[in-house]
Amino acid sequence: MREDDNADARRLLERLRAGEARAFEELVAAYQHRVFGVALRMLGNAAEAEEIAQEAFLRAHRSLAGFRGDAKLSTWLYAITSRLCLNRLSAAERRFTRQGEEALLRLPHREGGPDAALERGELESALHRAIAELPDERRMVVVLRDIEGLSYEEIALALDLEPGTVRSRLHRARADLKDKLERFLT
Amino acid sequence: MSCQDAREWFSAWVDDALGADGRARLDAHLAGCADCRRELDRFARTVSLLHSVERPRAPAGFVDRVIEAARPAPWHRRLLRRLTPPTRPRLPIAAAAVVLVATLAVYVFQRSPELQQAARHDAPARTAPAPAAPERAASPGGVAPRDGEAPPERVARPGAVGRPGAVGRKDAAARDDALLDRPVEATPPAEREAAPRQSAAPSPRSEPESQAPEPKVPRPEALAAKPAVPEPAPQAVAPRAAVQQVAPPPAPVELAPPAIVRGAMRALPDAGIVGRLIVKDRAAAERQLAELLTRLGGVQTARRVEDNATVVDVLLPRSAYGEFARGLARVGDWALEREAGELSARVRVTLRIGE
Repeated sequence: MREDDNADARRLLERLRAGEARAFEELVAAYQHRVFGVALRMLGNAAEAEEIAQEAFLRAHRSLAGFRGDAKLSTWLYAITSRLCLNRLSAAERRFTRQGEEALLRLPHREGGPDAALERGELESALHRAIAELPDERRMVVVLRDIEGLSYEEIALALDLEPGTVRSRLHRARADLKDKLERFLT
Repeated sequence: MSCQDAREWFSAWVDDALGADGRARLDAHLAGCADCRRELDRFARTVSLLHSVERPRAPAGFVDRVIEAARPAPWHRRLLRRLTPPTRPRLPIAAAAVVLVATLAVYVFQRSPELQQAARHDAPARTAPAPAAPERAASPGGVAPRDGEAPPERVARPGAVGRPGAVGRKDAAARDDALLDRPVEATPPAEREAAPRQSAAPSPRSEPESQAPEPKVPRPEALAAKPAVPEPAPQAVAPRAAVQQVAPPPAPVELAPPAIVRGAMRALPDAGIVGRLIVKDRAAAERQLAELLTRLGGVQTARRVEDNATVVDVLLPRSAYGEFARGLARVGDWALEREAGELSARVRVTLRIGE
């Protein structure tokens, strides 16, 4: 799940810092689905998600010189993406369209996943709807943790939060989802 | 540990993020609380569901689009971006430029066709009756008629361009009245007051036909004149029409034609006074001539150099002509080559200044 854990990611970072054009293309290719996935989960609109994902990579491209490498490359990209998403969501014109984020209900789901109940059906729709209805800050934490697989510390770094705040938001989000999916869990 | 406290730790328990002590305490509570065990089971299944959610994939071609967007702009575009101010101030400037260009274009188009048409229709213009007002709206010239926008004072005079001095004063006055009386809402009160005859005049649409035998000159220009056009221009375009008018006191500002119109005026037939002025210094003579014109309320309308002579066309009030001729005699040797039979309200004089 985390390509940048290995030596390849470190080499990629070195090439990026050296200004190698090909390295940036590799970066986009390697992280496009993660960045786009977070944007789509947060915004619920594919066109808007692509716009934000593209902007995230462009900002990363412009800021590579200033990236010190304290965090992982992926965490840095998540940080840029999540900030762009939250800014977009807080924009006045965006708030009026929140109710219509039906696209979240059509997000893909893994075929034959570990839980048979997640086969395309009512539970799947209920899960996606429940995620979409979470408050933005909680949804962001649960997406980064449970879908993208970041650690608490990485989420705290990406969202510039205290680890305790991350834990709290994550717990509230999960508890909220559990309550909404109650009838599927009995 | 209460049930509420225990449930606060569920998330950390699922993530295996509780310390050994915390896990031991929670396990102890769960061992004795069936409700919390059931809740923890549901909580864990919820998290398991979340973990099974598949990550959406970026659309095809996404990488290419990002790479393309990240490509630096060409040097000339970057330079242009640096040289031009941000969008906000640029927009009004562009809008102003568009308005300025459009205004100039309308201005030029209003006048160029009328001068050409005036030259072409010179002869029939003397006898043909005036078309009715609606016909004027459809007359040639390429400029859309804008009755509601055109101040009557301005539209009247350009219509006479191209009429030679043969048109009678009464005709010219009637024609002017007809056009002056057109109802124009856009005309400011001050401008309407400048034409007091309007108030007593009958219906504007009937008058041109019943009272004013109008030369059949093309008159799109008369209808197309707009309030934005500088006041002096229309009169200067039509010096001959002015000669036929009721002779208002000549104001120098009224006679100053724009350069573009001055050039076009050379094409007009010349029926004024022509004379030769022999001087010692042409440049000095021209300066003296300019002073003389200024003093007498006249204006120089054209200047050209021909065969060691400077030819200057001037226009001045009839009442000032005598003083003008005396002034010329002081400048040099003034000899008439052609004299007009009857002087109009404004006299056109062509001077050939030689040494």
